[in-house]
Amino acid sequence: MYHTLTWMLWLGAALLPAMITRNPLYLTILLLAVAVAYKTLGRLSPMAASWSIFLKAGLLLAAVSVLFNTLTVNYGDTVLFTLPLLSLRIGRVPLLELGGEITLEAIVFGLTSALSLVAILLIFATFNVLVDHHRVLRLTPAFLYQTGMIASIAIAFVPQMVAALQDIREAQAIRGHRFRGIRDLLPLFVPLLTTGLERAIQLAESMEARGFGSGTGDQTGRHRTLHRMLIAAALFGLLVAAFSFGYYADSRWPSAVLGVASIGLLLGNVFVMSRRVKRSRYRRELWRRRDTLVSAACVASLFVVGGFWLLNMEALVFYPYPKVSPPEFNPLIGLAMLAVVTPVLTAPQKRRSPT
Amino acid sequence: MIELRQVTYAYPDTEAPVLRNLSLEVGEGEFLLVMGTSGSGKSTLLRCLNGLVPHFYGGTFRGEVRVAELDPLTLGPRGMSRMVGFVLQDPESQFVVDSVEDELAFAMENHNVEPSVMRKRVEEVLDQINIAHLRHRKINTLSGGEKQRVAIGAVLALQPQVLVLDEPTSQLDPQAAEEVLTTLQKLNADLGLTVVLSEHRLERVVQYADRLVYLPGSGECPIIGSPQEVLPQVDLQPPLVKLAKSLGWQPLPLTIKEGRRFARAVKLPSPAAHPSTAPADPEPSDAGAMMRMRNLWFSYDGQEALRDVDLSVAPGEFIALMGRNGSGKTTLLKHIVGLLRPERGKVELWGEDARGKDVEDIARRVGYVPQNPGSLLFADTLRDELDFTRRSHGLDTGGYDDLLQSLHLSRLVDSYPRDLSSGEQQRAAMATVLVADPEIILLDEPTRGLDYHQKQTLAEFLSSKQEEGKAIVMSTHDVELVAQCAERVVIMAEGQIVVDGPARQVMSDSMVFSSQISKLFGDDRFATVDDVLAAVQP
Repeated sequence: MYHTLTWMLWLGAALLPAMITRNPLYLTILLLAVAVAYKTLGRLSPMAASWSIFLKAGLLLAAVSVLFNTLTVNYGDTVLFTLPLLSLRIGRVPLLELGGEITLEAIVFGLTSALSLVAILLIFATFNVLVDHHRVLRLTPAFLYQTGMIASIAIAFVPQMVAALQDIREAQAIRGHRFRGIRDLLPLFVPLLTTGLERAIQLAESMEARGFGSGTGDQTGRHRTLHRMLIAAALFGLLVAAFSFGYYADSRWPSAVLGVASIGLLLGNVFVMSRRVKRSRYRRELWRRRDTLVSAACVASLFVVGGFWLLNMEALVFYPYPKVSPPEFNPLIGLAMLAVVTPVLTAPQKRRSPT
Repeated sequence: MIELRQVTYAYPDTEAPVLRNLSLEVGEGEFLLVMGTSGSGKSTLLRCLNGLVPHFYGGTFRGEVRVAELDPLTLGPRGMSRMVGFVLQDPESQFVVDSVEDELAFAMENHNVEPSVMRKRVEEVLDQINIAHLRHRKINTLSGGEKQRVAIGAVLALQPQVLVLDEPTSQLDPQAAEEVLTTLQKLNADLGLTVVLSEHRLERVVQYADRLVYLPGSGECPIIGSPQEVLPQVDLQPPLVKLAKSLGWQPLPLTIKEGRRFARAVKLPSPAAHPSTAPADPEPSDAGAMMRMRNLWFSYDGQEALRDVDLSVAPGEFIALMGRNGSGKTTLLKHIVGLLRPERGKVELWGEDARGKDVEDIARRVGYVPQNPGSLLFADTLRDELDFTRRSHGLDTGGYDDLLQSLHLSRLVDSYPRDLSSGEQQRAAMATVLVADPEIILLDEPTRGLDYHQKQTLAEFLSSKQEEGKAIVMSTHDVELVAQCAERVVIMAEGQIVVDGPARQVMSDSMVFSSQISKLFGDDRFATVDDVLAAVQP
């Protein structure tokens, strides 16, 4: 429906505010926008069923976290009511105190955290339902592709092994095997291990016979070491830049320059290393006009939110303690949240095809 | 196209070579069938053609191999991958990505093929093997036959000149196997692709092959030639060939169509003169049934797998459970032994409701041998495996010499079960379950990967168990085995029992579930070679 790159930008535009702001107004707008996208676009995908369970679990977790925050944090000026204090301790060490003064601030803080948690979950659910992960893998730099491929195979192996374990457990139960102690693990563990190995060998044969890994042989050891050191230097530079950016709030320019230089070094490395890998990519995806629209909206949103984050952090911050006050609302940021709903607006209308 | 000269190969840590001084030439566009008993080196031979042997496995290799003037020994499997397409037995474990189209592109991506060329080739492959309708599907939603065709497509995309397939249909039901084989035949005929294929069930493939290679095993000299030349010399024969050989039909017929010409000339006693051997209608008597299922319903995550199933099993009965993959055969077997519990309806064992009984208790009297022997075997020796089962059921250890004898496993009792050949593993797995001497024996696809000898052993063993009064329920696709030993055939479709009747009658009525001999004569008195020979030779 959309290009994978468009979805990557969408993911960025949705995740950035979900992670950096606790302002309930922005988060609510964001959550609603993502929910609309999930509901209208995600239903087309068979993956949606498995994610809906995950989302329900997320909601439950959020509810528990609100309750927990309310009951354990007694900080805040607006006391609503007081519950008897229940304190759990091991010996003399206080472990947990439940109840006591219930404050509005604790409830509000719990709610905003829950909002952010649910938003993040829903964003990932939408992304996973709508985007084929192999396509995402194709967008990774070529020299990382092998590693990514192997990781994705390893992940695919897990459900297979769970199914195999189920078979083995059944097969051993038929032989009268009962689980009583550690020793009884052996009849389950050995077949699981050998079945897993056999499968892995078959898959490896099949991949080898189709030429997997043939385009990476021409890197000399010295080149590889050089690249590794340069990447390490770039990452270190980035770390220093990030740290000094926050620490020296008065003069941020040197840190910004260091950060940009480190990112440049990193990208340069990736580019050079990727050019050595001789491997083509099968991309049948088309970049349509609607991709341009959605991407533009997402980039704009990233600019607005990112700009505020770097230059005017206060606009995004919402902190209820010690005394809660109504959250501020900046219409520009509010509008930026709506970028995540653009895929719904520009999605193709379902027309009945003439037959 | 392919040339092997004096190839000798032994796997690492073994002394005896699997292949010894093997020489072989295969011409361009040939369809070569590699046959032999299990463990005779078929897979090894195939893996020499693209360098998986010795590159992937190690071991000692002597001799020379040339495939399309390339040397797999120096190039290795990666280097050979443009020339030789290699497809494995198990459709489950050879896929890398999760959608069909991406899988087809995978090999080309590895070889740095231009995106525009890739685009074109994917379309071509989709049409060549007729899977264009599957292009956007996820691989785990495909059927076994479709998966195997996608696997063939995935290697075809590199436009190899040789296609090597290691028992590509052994895990498939007859219909799916047919799909795969006709695809191969088309590729061989239309594109002139050289096909090298190994297979146990000769009745499925021998008609497509130009030449056969028979590997006798233990490194002896192979027999190579046209099917008509090779088949009479070897003892692995499909039923049609066996009959033709006994009756001296010349030239040797390989297809049912060729065989019918001879069959019409055979003088058989008329039905009236020869009363039917099978009782007309062995109405399954409910009285004295060991197992009875009533109105059984079951579903996996809302998908109905069994729908209103009624079935009863009496002592001494031999029931073959047939039907497509996914028609509910395994689900039904698992209900009998209590691994699955009915959603509605009930299972009665010896007149008692099985609900509330532990699987372990039921398993004392009901033995279930699952499809994959690998999920059972874990111990250091076969003896330990057998003792484990006896002990788990609270029985004395030992006392299984007869069982091993009748399964031809006696000499393997102290070997490591995982090192056995696939046929031996299958029998070892069976022994580990049957050592508890259950009264009902449930077998799930026991003939996967078995050659004709091993199937014969299995048939004899099961018949002897049946004579002891055990009830046997066997799910299988193997019509020849069913013709030989089952008395009753139950055919399932979409979770329902569609046919339940005497084996011979069902098989002569059916188009799909009938043996070669019943196709040949279309007479319910003749289902196996022995039936015909007994009628012809008074």
